[in-house]
Amino acid sequence: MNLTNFIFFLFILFGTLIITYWAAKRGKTTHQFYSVSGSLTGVQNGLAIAGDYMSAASFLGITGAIALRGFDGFYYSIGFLVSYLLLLLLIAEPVRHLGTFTLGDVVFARFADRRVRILTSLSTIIISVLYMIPQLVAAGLLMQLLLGLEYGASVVIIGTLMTIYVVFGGMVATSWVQIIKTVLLMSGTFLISLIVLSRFDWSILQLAEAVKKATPFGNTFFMPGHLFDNPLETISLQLTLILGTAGLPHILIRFFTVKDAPAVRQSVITATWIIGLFYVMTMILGFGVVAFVGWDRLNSVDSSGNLAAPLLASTLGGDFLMAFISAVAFATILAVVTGLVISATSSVAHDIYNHTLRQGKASEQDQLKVARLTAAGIGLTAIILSLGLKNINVTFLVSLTFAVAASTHLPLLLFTLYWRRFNLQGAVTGMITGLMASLLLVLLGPNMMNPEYGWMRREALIPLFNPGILAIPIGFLGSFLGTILSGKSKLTGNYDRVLIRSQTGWKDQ
Amino acid sequence: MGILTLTLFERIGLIMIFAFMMTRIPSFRYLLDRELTLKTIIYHSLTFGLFGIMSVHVGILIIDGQLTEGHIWRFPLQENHMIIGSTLVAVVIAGLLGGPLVGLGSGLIVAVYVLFLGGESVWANSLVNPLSGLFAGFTARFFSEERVIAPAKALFIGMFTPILHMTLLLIFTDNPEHTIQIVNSFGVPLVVTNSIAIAIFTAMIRLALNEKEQEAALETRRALHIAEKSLPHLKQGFDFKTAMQMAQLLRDELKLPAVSLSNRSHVLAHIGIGSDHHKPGDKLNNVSSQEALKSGEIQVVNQSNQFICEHDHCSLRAAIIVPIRQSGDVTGLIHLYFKRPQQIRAVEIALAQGLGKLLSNQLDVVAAEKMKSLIQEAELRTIQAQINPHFLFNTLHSIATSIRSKPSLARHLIVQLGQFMRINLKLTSTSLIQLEKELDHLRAYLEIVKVRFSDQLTVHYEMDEDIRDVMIPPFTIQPLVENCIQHGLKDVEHGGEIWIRLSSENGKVKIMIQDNGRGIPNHIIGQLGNQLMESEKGNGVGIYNVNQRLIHSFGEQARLHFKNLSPGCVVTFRIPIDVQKGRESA
Repeated sequence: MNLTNFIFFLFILFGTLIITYWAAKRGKTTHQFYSVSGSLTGVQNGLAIAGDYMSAASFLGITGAIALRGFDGFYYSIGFLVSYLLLLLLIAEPVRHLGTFTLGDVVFARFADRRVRILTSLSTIIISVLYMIPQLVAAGLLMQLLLGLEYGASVVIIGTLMTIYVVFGGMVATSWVQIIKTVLLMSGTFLISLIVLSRFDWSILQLAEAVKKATPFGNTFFMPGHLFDNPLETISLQLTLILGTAGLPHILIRFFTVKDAPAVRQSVITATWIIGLFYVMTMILGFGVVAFVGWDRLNSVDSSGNLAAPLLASTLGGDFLMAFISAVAFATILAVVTGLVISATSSVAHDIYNHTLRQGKASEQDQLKVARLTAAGIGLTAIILSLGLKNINVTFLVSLTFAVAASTHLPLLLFTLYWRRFNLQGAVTGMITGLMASLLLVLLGPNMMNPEYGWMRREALIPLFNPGILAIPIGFLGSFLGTILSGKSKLTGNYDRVLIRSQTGWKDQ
Repeated sequence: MGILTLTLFERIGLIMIFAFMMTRIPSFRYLLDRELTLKTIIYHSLTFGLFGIMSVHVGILIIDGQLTEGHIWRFPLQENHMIIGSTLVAVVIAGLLGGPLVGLGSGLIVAVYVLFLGGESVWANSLVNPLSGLFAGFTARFFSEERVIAPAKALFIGMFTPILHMTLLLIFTDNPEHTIQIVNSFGVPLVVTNSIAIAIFTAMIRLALNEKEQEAALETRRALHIAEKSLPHLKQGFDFKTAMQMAQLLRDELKLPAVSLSNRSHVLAHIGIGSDHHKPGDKLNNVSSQEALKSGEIQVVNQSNQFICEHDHCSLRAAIIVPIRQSGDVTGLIHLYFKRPQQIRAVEIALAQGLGKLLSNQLDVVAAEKMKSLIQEAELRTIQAQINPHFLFNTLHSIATSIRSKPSLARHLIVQLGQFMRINLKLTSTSLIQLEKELDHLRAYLEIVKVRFSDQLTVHYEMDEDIRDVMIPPFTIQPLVENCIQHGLKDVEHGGEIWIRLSSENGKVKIMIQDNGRGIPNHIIGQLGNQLMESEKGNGVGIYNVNQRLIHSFGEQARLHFKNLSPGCVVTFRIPIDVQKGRESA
């Protein structure tokens, strides 16, 4: 690691730890720990949501994908962005109105049944941990490339930091780490975009011309078809991304950190604008990579494209800019994994420990103690798993996560909020079928079964890398059939009350 | 890179010296409050803008991307010259302290200057200033609710403006290769030095503000402390003795050479230097004291032509004269003496002012309290003196009916009534009487009553001999007995009995009045003695009055206790034997 890198790295470390210290000093209640006592403003929360959501995969991966594959690289962004519309219109506000700290609260508000709370909490934990591991593994590899750290050291550093943030600072530290990351990421990409454009006299058309000449795709660079050649796969991917995002627990719990419904709307709108602008900028970055770094050079250095943005920074601004962008990437990774740790932690400590083991009667101190222990435990587990999985391709876990979220949480949430006949049996069946379907389909798909590199060396039974197009309908169908086939069940919960409360925020107690 | 960083730190040191001097200017410190008006925004922008322009020249001159040593003033710069350094520090501080507008304002001032200065990459060097100011202003508002941002946060925010600067250099360059080289060699040292300088500057400002606030807090605490300590003295009024104690207290607390207290015309006490010729009883004759008495305003004597003391060798050369008001009128003066006029700072004047107000308020409070208890006592006396008119009419009626048939009884009644009324009158003028006297009064009353009730009533006395002389508030036992007769024994045809037991018990006199009547209705037993009762006979204040007087004289432990027996009821209370002492401490 050279000195420039080291100094920037230290700055990020310093800044985030200061915030954690400050967060740890402010109030020690469960409200503060899980939800910042609902004290963030809409804009702050919007920034934090964006920080929670824009992973290193978005920043580095999509820039690389655009540089290497043209328009198809941009496809990911569209899915990511559209899902926020779904969140805004159907999910965000009701979730805020019904829950306190977790998704389990939301579902419990209708069914008041411990089993469904445990199930929701389990799927939250599964999603969080499954998502955390590829993030950590990728982070380890990236830090190895960017800062020249050992893989093991990188994973341990990032893992320890995320654990420290959550253990000491809870949601307060998490939120501010995410906000800072968003500001860093947005300003970093914005400044580099400006440099790119300044080299072409501020004309996107000139830039496009240069890109056209530099890629082997020529004019077709701006058309689809260089990454996804299977239409079914493409649709499945988009469906998974759109519907999966709307069910991601670490995004949903962010809505508990603001005080009311207008602030929730404000957060979603802010987050959408930021993420949208960010993806537009990744496009300019991607073009910049082609124009300045060169398609061939990128492909030869790193065929996955992850180093595209740092290489661009290095070409445009030397070590200084490269170090800055690496620091931004470091912050990006930190913010996302920290968000995942707090989401898993609140599920374990709030849903399972407090509400299931202690019937909701645990004292504040006990809850906080368990939450801190849980966070430490989750951090440690994630570090150990990631250290062990270094040489294994874990990217499929990302698509698995989105598939699980889309096929379990989404049907559960939508039916809970909007279907009068939905009942407990439907909820449980839907969760289980959705979860099993996602796992099974990935297991039988080309991620696992591949004649060349799969865990099982044979032709895949299901030829889809992204099984969302099958798993999601199965999840919805499971919930539907579970409800219909259980006959005239009395366990439909308190639909009218839930409807009024979820739409208006009015509480009758 | 290391040498460059060190050089930059040296240069920033110069700026820091200047910054330190700025934080010493009181008006600068007062202006740091966040309430911004257009005027303060302009003032701040100008101050920090000028500061920024100075910082420009303290920077390091770069010629063709190469570091040069030593230079202080060059204007304008040549095409291939550039100055880097701590220009942004001033602008960022402006933004952090004063918000986006001040940041922008001072940034614009620096930007215009840099444009005139010229040199390499002039547009980037100029533009970075207002942008940094704005950025710092917004981030400070976003991240911090403190008045002055914490140095750690400032350090973090401070690192980004050099990055912005470097990026702007890259954006506005005609020769990317050359600029990349500059950015690579100067970027990191600038990031490090600028952010540290910004952190140190904010720490300095916080320190300066803390100093100011703590000073004020200390003075406030001192004034309150004095007021609290002087309260017991003030309670006893304003005479030679208490004035001495007060003067001693003030001199000890304020650590002054001398303090004197006076009433409107004379010195009551003088403590400290000069007590050989400043003596209690001296007349107040200097002009400033008269002025203070007349205007009621605090007077500061710190001019050489005003003499606080006409004595030739007096070393007291300055004074603050604090008028003390009571109910709006100036009733006294406190002289706080100093040896030299320079010793009187604004702090001392403010303290004296506060002290004067506090003491005046304390005096008013004491006076009000005294007034209240006087009024209370007067009220009680009036009630005491009232003989229940029904009682008087009934007695007169008894006399009238017996005057022919039983003249001796009538005579007896008249004698007893006279006795009763005489004692009544006498008791009214004292606040405590001997138990014996109270019993005489009671007996006179009972003699009259017995005539009316003839054989219906028997009264038993049991009394320890040694408590005859114990002092007791007058009219305490009689109303209780009257209550027994009027309520407890009201419907008892015959065989009504009353026991009056007086005994000493653990240094207290225990007084019990018991009857064998119908007892006290449950719904009023709790309220009895605590509030006025509705009554068709009498004025309904009897028991309440007794209870309140007992509590007022001896405290809660002397209150009346009521208990129903079967039959009848008992009232008990205890008063200390050493009554005189009990009265003092109450």
